[in-house]
Amino acid sequence: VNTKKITIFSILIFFIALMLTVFVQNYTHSRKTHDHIKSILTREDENLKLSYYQILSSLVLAQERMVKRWIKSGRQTHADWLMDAISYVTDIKSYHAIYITDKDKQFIWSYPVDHFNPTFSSNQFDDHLKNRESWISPLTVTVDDAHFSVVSPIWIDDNLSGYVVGLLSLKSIFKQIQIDDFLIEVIENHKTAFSNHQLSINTPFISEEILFQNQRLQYKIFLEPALYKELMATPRSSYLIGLSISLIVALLVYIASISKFQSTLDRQKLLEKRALLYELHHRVKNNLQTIISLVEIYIQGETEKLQVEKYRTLQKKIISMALVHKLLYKTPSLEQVDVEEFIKLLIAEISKYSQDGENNVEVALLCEKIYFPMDKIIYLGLILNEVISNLFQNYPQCPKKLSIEHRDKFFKIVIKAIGLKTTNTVFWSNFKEGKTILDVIMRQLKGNYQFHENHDFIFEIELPV
Amino acid sequence: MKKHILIVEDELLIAKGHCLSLEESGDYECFCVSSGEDALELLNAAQFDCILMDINLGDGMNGVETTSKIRQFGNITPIIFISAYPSPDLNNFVNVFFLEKPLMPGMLVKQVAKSILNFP
Repeated sequence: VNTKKITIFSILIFFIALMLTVFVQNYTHSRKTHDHIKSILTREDENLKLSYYQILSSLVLAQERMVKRWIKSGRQTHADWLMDAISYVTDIKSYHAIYITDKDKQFIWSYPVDHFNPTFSSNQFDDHLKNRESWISPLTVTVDDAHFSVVSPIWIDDNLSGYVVGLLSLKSIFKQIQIDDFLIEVIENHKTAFSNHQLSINTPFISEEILFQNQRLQYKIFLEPALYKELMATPRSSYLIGLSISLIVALLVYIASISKFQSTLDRQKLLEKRALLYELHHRVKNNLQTIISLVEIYIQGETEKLQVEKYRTLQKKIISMALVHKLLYKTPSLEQVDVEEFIKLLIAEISKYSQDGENNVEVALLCEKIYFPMDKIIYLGLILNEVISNLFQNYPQCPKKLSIEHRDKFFKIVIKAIGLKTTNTVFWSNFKEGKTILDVIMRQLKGNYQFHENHDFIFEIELPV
Repeated sequence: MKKHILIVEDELLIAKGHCLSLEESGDYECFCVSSGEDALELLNAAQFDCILMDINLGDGMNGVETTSKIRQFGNITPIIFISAYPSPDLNNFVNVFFLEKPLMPGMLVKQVAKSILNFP
């Protein structure tokens, strides 16, 4: 993985997000439009007491029946059919109204409702239709002062031959969906006639089957008009919103990926550095062992006891340095090394080299935590190593206490060997080089040290804050 | 009679240092090899009272693998691992010890004596 791949990935995410958001918005918009149209269609007309959708269902069915009847009749001419239709209508005479036009779409006839049967049940009506082979629209209509109230177009050949009553109230829908101009004209021309109508429809044809047919019709109607296309077209704002969302998503993905990539890179580098430090640390230890071995070779060639002892001391100093090095490697920060922790670790390590391996040093911190930088702690380690090693080596059984205090501008480290009666001279007699090292280091650290020769052996180191 | 010590160490100066430290006491005679393979070959031919084993032996088998082979052959001679690296998991082996580099010659001699003393 690299930044180039992340960029390509983010661009890909951008396009995917864009496609998804536009698709979702298109879909949502289209659903909304459909729901809107449906809500109009299913809205109940206050006068009709039926939904437009139901009215439409009835009208379509009526239309179908009239067409079937026309085909069945075998009439070939429009005039014949027209006469036939009129005869059927007049023959039925009840509960129906028909508005008939000629082939030039001129209003020529309407059938007034003389008989109204509001209790006509669907079953009865079905029987009625069956028995009389009626083709007529299954509408019962009440009109107070108009001749027709509901209109359904009937299409025969190239002529619009008739309208079953009923479409007046659908005007509000159809004007939105660009219906046949002629129909609008008819409705407009007879507006006054329709204005006071009271219409109620009882139809047995509002059944599942018819609803299904009408559902098909509904879609047919709405798919054709140009306005529908316009309604269904995705608004420009959708693209803008999609673009914005996609940009944000892609940007977030890019930032997250880059951030993750960077953190992986950092972690990898950190691991590499840690591995390098680990290897280096152990290389140093190995090299120190090589130096000890070299000194050992020198010792073998030496006959003077004093020289041999000096070589042995040198080996011990190498071990001391290795010890400090080991402790520094273990500390989490090289800038702020915890003095108390460092001293505890140092004593634990030194005790391993004591005769019985026992650690009998009690460490007490008598102030708040103290932190030294690495260069200072190395020297402190060397001093303590000199003193404590001497105590372990020459006075192993003696209980020891080490305390760390903070006094004014100094840190004070007190090493006490309880019950050890010795003098300064005796203490350093076995440890001459140690004292020299102590003096040099104290000068460098601008500190000082002193002994108290009382009942206990007390060694104090003062270091500036 | 001097105890025989096998030193397996690829750094010859270090091996020499160990050898001199041990032989200085007068109780030991050391034999140095620089690889695990050489150690196995020598162990086929001779018996030792203690083995000093470095862990990183350069190319070829490392100290732990060599020890594994030695134990597979039924050899339970005390083995003292000496390494600058932290002690590996030695729980699978019996009669093994670990010393961390750098170490004082005295400590090495003390540990060898202790290992041989405990070895039945």
